[in-house]
Amino acid sequence: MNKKISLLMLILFMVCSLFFVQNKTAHSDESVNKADKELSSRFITIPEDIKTIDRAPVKFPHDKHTKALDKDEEGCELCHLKGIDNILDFTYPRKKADATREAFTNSFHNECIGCHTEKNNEDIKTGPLTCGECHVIDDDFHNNDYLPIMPEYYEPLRDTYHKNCISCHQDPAKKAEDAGGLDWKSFYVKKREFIEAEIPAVNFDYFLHDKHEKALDEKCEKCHALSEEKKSELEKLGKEPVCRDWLQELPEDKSYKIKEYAHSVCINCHLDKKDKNEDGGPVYCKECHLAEKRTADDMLEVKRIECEQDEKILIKLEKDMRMKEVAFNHQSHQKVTLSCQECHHDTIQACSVCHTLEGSDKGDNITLAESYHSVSSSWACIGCHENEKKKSDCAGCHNLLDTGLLESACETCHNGVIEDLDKKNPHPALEKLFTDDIKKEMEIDIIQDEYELSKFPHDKIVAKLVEISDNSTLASYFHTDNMTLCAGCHHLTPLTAKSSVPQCRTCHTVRKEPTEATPALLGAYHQQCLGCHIQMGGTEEEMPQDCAGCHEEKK
Amino acid sequence: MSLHEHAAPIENKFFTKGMIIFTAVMLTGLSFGLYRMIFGLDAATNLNDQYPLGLWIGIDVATGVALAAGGFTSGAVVYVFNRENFHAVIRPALLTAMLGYTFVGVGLMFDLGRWYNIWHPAIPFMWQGNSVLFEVGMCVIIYINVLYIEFAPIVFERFIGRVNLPGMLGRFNDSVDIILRFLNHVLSKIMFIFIIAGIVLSCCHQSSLGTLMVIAPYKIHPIYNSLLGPLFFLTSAFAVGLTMIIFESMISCYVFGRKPEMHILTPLSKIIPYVLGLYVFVKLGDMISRGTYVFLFDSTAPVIMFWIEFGFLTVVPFFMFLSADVRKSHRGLFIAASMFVLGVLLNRCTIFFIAYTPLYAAKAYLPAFSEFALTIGLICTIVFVYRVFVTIFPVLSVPEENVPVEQVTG
Amino acid sequence: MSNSRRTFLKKITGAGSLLFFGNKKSAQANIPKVSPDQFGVLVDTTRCVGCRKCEEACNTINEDLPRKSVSVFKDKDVFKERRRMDFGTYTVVNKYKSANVSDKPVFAKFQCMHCLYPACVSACIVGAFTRDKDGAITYDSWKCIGCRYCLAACPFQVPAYEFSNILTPQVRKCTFCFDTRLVKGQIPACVQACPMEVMKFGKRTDLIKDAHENIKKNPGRYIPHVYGEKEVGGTSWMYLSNIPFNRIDFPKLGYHPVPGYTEPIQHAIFKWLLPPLGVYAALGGIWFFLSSKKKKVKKDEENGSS
Repeated sequence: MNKKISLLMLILFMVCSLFFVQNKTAHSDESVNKADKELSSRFITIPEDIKTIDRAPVKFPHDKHTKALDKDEEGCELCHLKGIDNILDFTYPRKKADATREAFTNSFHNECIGCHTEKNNEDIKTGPLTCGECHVIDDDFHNNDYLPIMPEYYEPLRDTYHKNCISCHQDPAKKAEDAGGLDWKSFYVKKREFIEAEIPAVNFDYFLHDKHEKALDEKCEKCHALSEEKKSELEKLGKEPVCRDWLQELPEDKSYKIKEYAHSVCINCHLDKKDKNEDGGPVYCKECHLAEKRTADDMLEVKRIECEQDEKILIKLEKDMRMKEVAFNHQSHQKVTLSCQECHHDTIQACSVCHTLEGSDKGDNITLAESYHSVSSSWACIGCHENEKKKSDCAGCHNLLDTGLLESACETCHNGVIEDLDKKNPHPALEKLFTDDIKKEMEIDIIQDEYELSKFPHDKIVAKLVEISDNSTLASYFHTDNMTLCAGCHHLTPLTAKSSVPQCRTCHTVRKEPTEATPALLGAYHQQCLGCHIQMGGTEEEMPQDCAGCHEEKK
Repeated sequence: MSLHEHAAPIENKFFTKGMIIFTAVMLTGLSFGLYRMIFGLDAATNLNDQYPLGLWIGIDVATGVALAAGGFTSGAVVYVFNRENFHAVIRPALLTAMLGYTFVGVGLMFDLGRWYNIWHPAIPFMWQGNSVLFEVGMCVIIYINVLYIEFAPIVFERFIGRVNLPGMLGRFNDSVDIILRFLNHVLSKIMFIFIIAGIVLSCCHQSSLGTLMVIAPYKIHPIYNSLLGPLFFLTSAFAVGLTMIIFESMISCYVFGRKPEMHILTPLSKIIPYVLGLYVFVKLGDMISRGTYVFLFDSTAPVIMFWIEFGFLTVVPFFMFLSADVRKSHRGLFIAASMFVLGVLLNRCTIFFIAYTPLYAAKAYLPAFSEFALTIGLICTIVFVYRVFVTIFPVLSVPEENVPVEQVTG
Repeated sequence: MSNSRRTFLKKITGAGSLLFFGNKKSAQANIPKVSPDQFGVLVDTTRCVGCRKCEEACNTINEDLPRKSVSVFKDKDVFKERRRMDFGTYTVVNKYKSANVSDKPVFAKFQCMHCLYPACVSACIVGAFTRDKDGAITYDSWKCIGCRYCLAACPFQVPAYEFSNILTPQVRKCTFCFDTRLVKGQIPACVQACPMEVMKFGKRTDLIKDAHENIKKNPGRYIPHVYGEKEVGGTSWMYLSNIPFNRIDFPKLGYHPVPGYTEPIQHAIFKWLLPPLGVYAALGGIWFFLSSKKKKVKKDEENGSS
């Protein structure tokens, strides 16, 4: 009897140990397409109503297939059906009506494995045939925050997850601020959710638009749609539609943000051209979905879209505007943006159309004031300017200065005079800025401990800042006074006093008190000087970040 | 204590082949201990800032204390619960416990950085009542003394009426004899105090050993990181105590060429499923209530160790002890007992340095060769000293068949 | 019969203690009082440039540390790996990559956090660690037996041990410059030495207020969390950061003090030694009861047979 029990236990143990073996082999599947870390490999989206999946999601290398099937007669049609008007439907699987789990899985298995098997039989190098070669559990699976579903395919979470997550949630008092209770089910849910890796959105900037305009002979209707009302309205007025008309009322299903619509319009046209052996556009994913963006500098020469817009505008409220109107240079802003969408979202309309005073649904409940003054949003004037101030040319000073809405700056924008936009106020020549009593080069020798005194090239620094400011339209508009630049370092002092600007050491004392809120002199110098050098990131000669660059070591 | 007239020193040859091997290993191990003393912890171990507690704490201290639980469990069973038929196992269990705790103390000396300060916890000025380790230390110090006191009657029994001091001291033979008799008499009256004290003290420090790693909840694997740690250690100590009695009894019977005392061991092993079942129950219950069973199919080291030490080496013996056939068979009993003893050893090791994942470790901790060598050497030392004691003192009971003991090699 | 009488007496005297056996009120941990005036340090990691002057100052002020030449602290190659404190270094600065590749690297300084409810103080068997009312946690090597339980207990993995020291190994960690500077009314050496004033020394409650104000005044500059304000019950050294704290090697810890796990257990089991005494009495009672029952049975048998 005891022998039987021992045998039973042994079998139980062996069965259990099989779990480890299985887990281990799931790890060591070598047929992961390591070369396919390309942009176009994305996880296949699983429809919302399929709640559970039995295996890891499949990463599909689209471009690999496009390349391979290039020479094939059917090409894209192998997987994508031609719909009405002979237009390829770039959704997959084809039969969208069949949303059941079985149909969904079969649509992939039958097509994918079927094709691979066929090619394999013809001895052509083809894709995987077995389950685990497509349903791979690898680093991407982990990094994409997939929630594990079933124990067999649940890869062991790294110990850090458990150590960090569960140890915090396990707090007996359950008062950890953003931690829930230890309900293990909240970690392991049957409903599968996953966050797709972000594939870069297509940045249809001025350059591309110009290219298309030229290629399509300015026939806007090839890509844009007009509503019937608008068409009849324009006919009545005898006008030709301008770009604003095309984009003013965009039907929801014709938004280029919708993947299917965009692919349908763009790729079909490009394929068409390719078939006719004409110069068409790209067909491969990563040729449109580029990671790198063109910069405004790259597009200085590109013609901006003719939209009957005014070059300079006075932004005002229709009634009851108590502040002066804001003079807005639309043309110069066009020069520094990449596309109209950067400010105008999807439609070409004035901001106040959707962003009403009280906020409306159309404008996502952002009020008019917020749409102009929000500090954090790059759609808003202030927000975009804040981002500009973070650039390395500006961050040296602006990193330490107050951010956001500054009362002193209201008047700069709210000046009510359009002609002011043309005003240029470059800084006077350096000789004029530096009077006799402002030293060009100074020696800072007050706190010398391990290092010799520091030779401070005052004039060079001012020259550099002046150069940067004068070259930037934004900077020169807001640096209204010649002395504004000086405030970057000489803060909290009356700048008109010029040579009577107090020494740093007056407020930033040498002696450090434990409760002092203002930095001591050592901290003040380094936060200002070294901080600026780090933010601006210049060369070691211009902006040393090494101790010895500013002051030599004492021997 | 008339029942103990069945106990007598053994008459087997001391330096058998096996004993020579044990002695050699013992000396080798102790030489590694000397190496540690001369060259320091850095040279003799793989301990580092990330893994401060290693094999010597896991085995010498934690497992040593656990496996020496036979002393108090036998006392509880025989005296408190009045099962006098198990009397014969008391003395060997007591000897195992006494030597085991001494081994804990000696092993600890090697692990401590400042071993010469080991007496510090006994000074009231340095008492730190909040520390778990303090309580463990105090209980162990007191308990070792209790064990020595409990063992004293055996010493008295050996020497009363046979005091024979060498040479010049021979004139004190009679006075020593009188003192011994007096002490024996007094002790036999008050022994119950120490027996109960031993049980209480054991319960205290066995459970506190389990509380030790509760102070590092962020570094212990969830399966082992429970506030019920002390309860696990306590219940497993109860179970392993009785199991060690069986284990060690069968080994000595095999070594000394006697028949295993199944008439004692079988009924004794009947108790084991209750205490072992309690341990299995609380451990599984804790896992279910805290939901940590989700980790059971990871293939990380702590989980694999859990399957081995609990899944295989605890649950399987539980079922084995449940079976009457196993309990009646000396081979089955031995296998079950060895499995569970090994399971407890692995359990202690796992908690201290396998399921313990420090925050910034570059690699896992693998004990150095000298750590293994010293531990094994110390274990062989226990065997050696045990052999010495059972040869000198009346510890093991005389076999009932009254067959003259053969000179068996082994 | 004296045996049983003694046991009986023991049972009676211990009976009273049995009433306390189930007492659960002793679950309150023995948490040392935290003075509201205690010091703290706020570390703004967004300012740190990795110059390592703090490490140099620490090495200079603590004379029992092995001397390192100044050139050691100018070496930028150390940032290639993530260092931890060891027996010769009380503080280290590590370099981390920011979230965006284009952003500047992030530097963070590590040292003892001087917790309000320190695990090391609670764990030490001989009380070698003490928490001063000003917040500093100091170590008395004379008491230490070298068990290294404090290394296992610390949730930040701070203490380092001198494994290579054969005869007099010590536990080594930052002392908050207690003996060297705090008692003289000076601020810690690393705080003083930092040229970028990354660290601010002051009253802990004030620093927390300042930290939250800073976060509000500079939206987007800091993660809205002051690390160490509440972690493991609060620490004296607190941190502000631009990137998530676990990415600069700060462990994600709960807010419950670590000794709060073990001390309630210990105090519940050993409150005034009553539960052990209760067990003692219970065992004695059982022994007495069972042995007298057996004797009664024996007596009955004898009477019956006679």
